[in-house]
Amino acid sequence: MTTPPMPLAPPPGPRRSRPGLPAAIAVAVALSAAFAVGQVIYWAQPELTSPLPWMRVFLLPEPDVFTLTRVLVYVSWGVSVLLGLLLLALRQRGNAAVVRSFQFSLLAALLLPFVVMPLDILGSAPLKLLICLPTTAVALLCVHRLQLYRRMPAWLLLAGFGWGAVIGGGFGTVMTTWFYRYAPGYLLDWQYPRDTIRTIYTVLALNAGIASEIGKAAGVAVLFFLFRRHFGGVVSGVVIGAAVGLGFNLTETVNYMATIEPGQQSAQFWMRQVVGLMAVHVAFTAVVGAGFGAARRLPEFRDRLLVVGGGVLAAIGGHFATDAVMPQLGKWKEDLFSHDQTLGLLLGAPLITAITSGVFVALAVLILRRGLTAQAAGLARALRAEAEAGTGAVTAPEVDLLLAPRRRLLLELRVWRRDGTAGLRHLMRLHQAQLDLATQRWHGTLPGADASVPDVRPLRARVLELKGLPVPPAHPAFPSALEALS
Amino acid sequence: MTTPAQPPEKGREERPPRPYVRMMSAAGAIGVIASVVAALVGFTTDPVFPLPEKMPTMPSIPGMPTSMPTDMPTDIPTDLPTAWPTDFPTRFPTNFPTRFPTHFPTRFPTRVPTLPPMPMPSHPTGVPELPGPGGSR
Repeated sequence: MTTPPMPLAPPPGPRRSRPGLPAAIAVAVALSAAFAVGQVIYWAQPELTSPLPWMRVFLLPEPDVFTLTRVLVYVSWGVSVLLGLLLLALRQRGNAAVVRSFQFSLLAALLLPFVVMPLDILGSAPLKLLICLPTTAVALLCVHRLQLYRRMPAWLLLAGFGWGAVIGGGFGTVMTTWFYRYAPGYLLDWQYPRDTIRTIYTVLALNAGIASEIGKAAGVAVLFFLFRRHFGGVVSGVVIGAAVGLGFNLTETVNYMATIEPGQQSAQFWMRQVVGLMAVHVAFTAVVGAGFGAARRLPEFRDRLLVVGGGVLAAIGGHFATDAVMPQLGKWKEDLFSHDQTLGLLLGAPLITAITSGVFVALAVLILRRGLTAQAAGLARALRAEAEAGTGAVTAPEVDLLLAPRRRLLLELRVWRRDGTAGLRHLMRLHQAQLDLATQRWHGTLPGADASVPDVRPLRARVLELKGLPVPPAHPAFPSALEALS
Repeated sequence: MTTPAQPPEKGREERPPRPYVRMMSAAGAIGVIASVVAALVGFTTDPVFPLPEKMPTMPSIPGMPTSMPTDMPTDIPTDLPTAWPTDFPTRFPTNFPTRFPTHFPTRFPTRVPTLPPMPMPSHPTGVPELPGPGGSR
């Protein structure tokens, strides 16, 4: 029994339209709401009277940069309310372009205050930032190349990286600062100071896990809602999540290198920019991204909530466990390698990183592998159907080449040697256009297909244009699957 | 001869595929387990970092001194005052009456004897006041 051929056109009937920009704005509003909750908890905290002198570390004055962030958040709320009212008025009579520009302005107004603290961190240590950039750039390139078949545009990865570095990092820093300022009032119990210290630092680790992972997950969510067309499945989600995690890791590394004592800076670079570069934050947010990528293909809302919630819970749990357990493991490592600190760095640091975040790295790799396998199978069906259709966009010999990443890489190297960079770029554009055509054709036939799956006809025309073949005139409608089979 | 296709059971409809639902649910469960482990470790062990030896300075409050006063007032007395009265009587008076009537008198005396005057010490002067909450400034 043979499998029926894939239709040339998507199944008839309207596809469900999913909210894009309004959903992204809702995410930004949620971040502002979390900030407001932190402010209210701070205002309501019991007065702190400490008989112990060392608890004065929690009574330090508010940092200037945090004060500036707070003021900007309040201003942004006022601006957002104004923009929201104007938007309501414009929706009735404004054109779509003006409404979209107001929506983007609203999104920017809500998010921009969170960039102040990370920019202060990065700007006050430019040399440390420069030192960390090469390793981060190589990691970002590796993440991009994880997409063995169709790849998302590079600007989308850079957008995710930028979110992780400034907005995700900013939200996490702001919420941790709030915690430092209100936690002692609620948690300190002078009758049991030892338990108090344990409670404060455990809850601090939990707060850091929740705030940081929510900040990063918000970035994946905003990019998912705005650019849903590019999220093909778990592979796209893992890659975007990894890019967000890399950006967050960069800001965190620069922050630790700038605040720690000078003798430990190289150790911090080793642990965060070499050993833990593709672990910890990259792994945590990759799992979050996998949840969003999986949600793309699920028609039921409950299933979408389940996969996204599972990813976020995994990330929060991993971050909390790393912050709570790693210091204890670090102490054990120092005792174990007390005779040789270099050996402790070379062996001990990878060991404790593997113990704390190894499970999540393995999870991200497992999800990625499964996603790539499913992607290869779906692309194989779509490419063969496109070749059998005889449109010229994909030929039978090209099908095997497009499904073999190693053969494509060898061909690219050969073309680069023969035709230089211009020839290589043209070849890569052609291959990506063919894979994009096949991917959207495959996605259009899946159960979760929504209105963001583009029409394949312009994609086919693009491929023919890159091949130098004549582009057929646009048909009013493609024949239905039954007509194509008869 | 082929067997006819069995009709679907009543009430069991074919569900669309739900890829990755189980895998992501398992990921969430791993996250919960990791959180429990972290909470157990955190609440049962002491933080490993030493407490800071050098304390940061307290935030300044307008009008309040930023440190304890170093110049104490010099006119505080160093011992008890010496200008106490010294002419207290050393014995009780002896000129009390010694003859008491044996029967109730029919005629009461018209003059009641009075006690001799006792010299009382005056309130000591010259004790300086202690510095108030504003310090010695």
